[in-house]
Amino acid sequence: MPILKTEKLTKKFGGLVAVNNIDFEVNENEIVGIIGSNGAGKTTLFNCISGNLKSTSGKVIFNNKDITSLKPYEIAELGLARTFQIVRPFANKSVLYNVMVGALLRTNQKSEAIERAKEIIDFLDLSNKTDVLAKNLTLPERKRLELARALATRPVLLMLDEVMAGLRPAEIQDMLKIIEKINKQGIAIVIIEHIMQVIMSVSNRIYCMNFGEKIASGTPQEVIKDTHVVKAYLGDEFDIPEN
Amino acid sequence: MGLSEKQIKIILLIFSTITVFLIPVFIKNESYIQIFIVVLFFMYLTTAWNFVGGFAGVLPLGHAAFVAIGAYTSTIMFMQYHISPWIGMFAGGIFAAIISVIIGLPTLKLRGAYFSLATIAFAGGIKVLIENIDAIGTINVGGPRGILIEYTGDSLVNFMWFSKVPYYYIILTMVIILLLITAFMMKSKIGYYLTAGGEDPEAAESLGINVTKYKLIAMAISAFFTAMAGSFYAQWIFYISPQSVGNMNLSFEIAFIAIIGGRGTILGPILGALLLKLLEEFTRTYIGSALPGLHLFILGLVLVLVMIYQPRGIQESAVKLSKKVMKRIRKKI
Repeated sequence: MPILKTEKLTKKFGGLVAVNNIDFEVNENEIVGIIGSNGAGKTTLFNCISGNLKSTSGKVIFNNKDITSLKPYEIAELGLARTFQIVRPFANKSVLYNVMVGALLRTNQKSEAIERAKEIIDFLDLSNKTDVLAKNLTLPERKRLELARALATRPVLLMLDEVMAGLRPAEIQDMLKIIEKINKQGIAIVIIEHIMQVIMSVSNRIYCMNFGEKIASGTPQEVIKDTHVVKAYLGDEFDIPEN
Repeated sequence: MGLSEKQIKIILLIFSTITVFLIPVFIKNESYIQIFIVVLFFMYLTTAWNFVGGFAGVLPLGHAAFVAIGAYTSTIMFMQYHISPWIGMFAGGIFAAIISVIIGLPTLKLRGAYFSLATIAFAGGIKVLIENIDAIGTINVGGPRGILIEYTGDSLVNFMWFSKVPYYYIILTMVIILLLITAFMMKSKIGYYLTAGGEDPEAAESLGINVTKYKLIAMAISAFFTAMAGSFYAQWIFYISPQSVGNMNLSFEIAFIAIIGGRGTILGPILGALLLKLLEEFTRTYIGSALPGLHLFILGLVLVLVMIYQPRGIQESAVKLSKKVMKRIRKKI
């Protein structure tokens, strides 16, 4: 049963159709990847789902509830969390503070929020940075903090917008492990990425977008063989060698 | 080596509280007491402003309107209906809170300078409104002439004394209560949500925070306490006019003190008011007569210097300094 579903979701900026008639589904406990080149409309699709942008037409259904016109904070409360492509921690606050803000969504008790925040900080290997200000963290740490904060809201579905971008290969491997660990806790994950190898290894299913349209979907092996995908990535002249 | 840092802090806090309570016992000169009241009055106003201007991360520049609402509400109730200004104080606070929510609903969605401009316009509107109303029905508002409060003898119920010392204690108590509320709020969920929304509204919303709602709450709390200061002002000065309580300069001064002291901190308004108001009062007394206008020049210079070298307010270096001193003290013990 799909936990998240979009029906004919469309977003237009003036004359530009950034997201065009997208049908998209995420099942419980699944890791779904969205790939596509720059400007394909991946982040816009995210923003429409999470309520940061108002979609022009179409529907978003989360846990059998129509969330199309809900505000971002209402959607977060229903259990759909997201991270931002450009990390936006509360820079002048400590790591603990950042994660606590997330944890306070599910409790009014500060002591409970601290406990929960510390668990997650531990889980993401940030425990030696608990009292460091967010602005003094390295990029990989900031990406983990962004993840920690979203996790603290106890989501059922987590949407990650390019959490790997700017990371070194070894750091990417760490991040992949973390994502799998999160998924094992029963949290479904949608992940945007344009590094193919990364997303291939971790996703159960992949959607490929180009110029706002969905051009392919399926298992990683299916998608990588799709002619449209190859053309979108490598150009129109490229033909797949038949074997 | 028996005392922890926290214990030293508490001792210092108790010590300084006792000192400020004893000031009128040792300083008999009423004009000095008057200066201390001015300092405390602005400390209070800035702390109230800090709820929305500091923690919620927006820059309201129209708080004089709430001072005016408070001052006029309690004064009209007192002069014409003989209701104790203490009750009027709360009535004014509630009235201002309601007005602030009505103003905040459409304006708090505005970002940055647009919100500030909206609040300036609102406060300007309130001032012009009061200036142009002589009376509403049988209620005498006084228009540009303002309202004079008649001294009818010392009375706690009437919030009225000939000496300034009682006012000193009242405003001091108000400051302490407000600081305690601020400290309590900063450590509660509301405080966390307010600062988060102030730092990055979009990120905060994605974590489930209704940023506008929390800003409205902050605005209402801030307006409530600011209006109480207006009632205090009326009973302290015995005269209110649109020029004295609704003036734009007052709104700006509050924001200045907060920025100089450090927005969004408990210590900021205390240090800011101490520095700016004391400097202003003393330069006016001692230099103002030698070369009129020189004290304003010095004030401007201090503003510029602080903004260049201490953009996060003088509280930052004060905290650093106190930490160093604390280390020394602990070594000595």
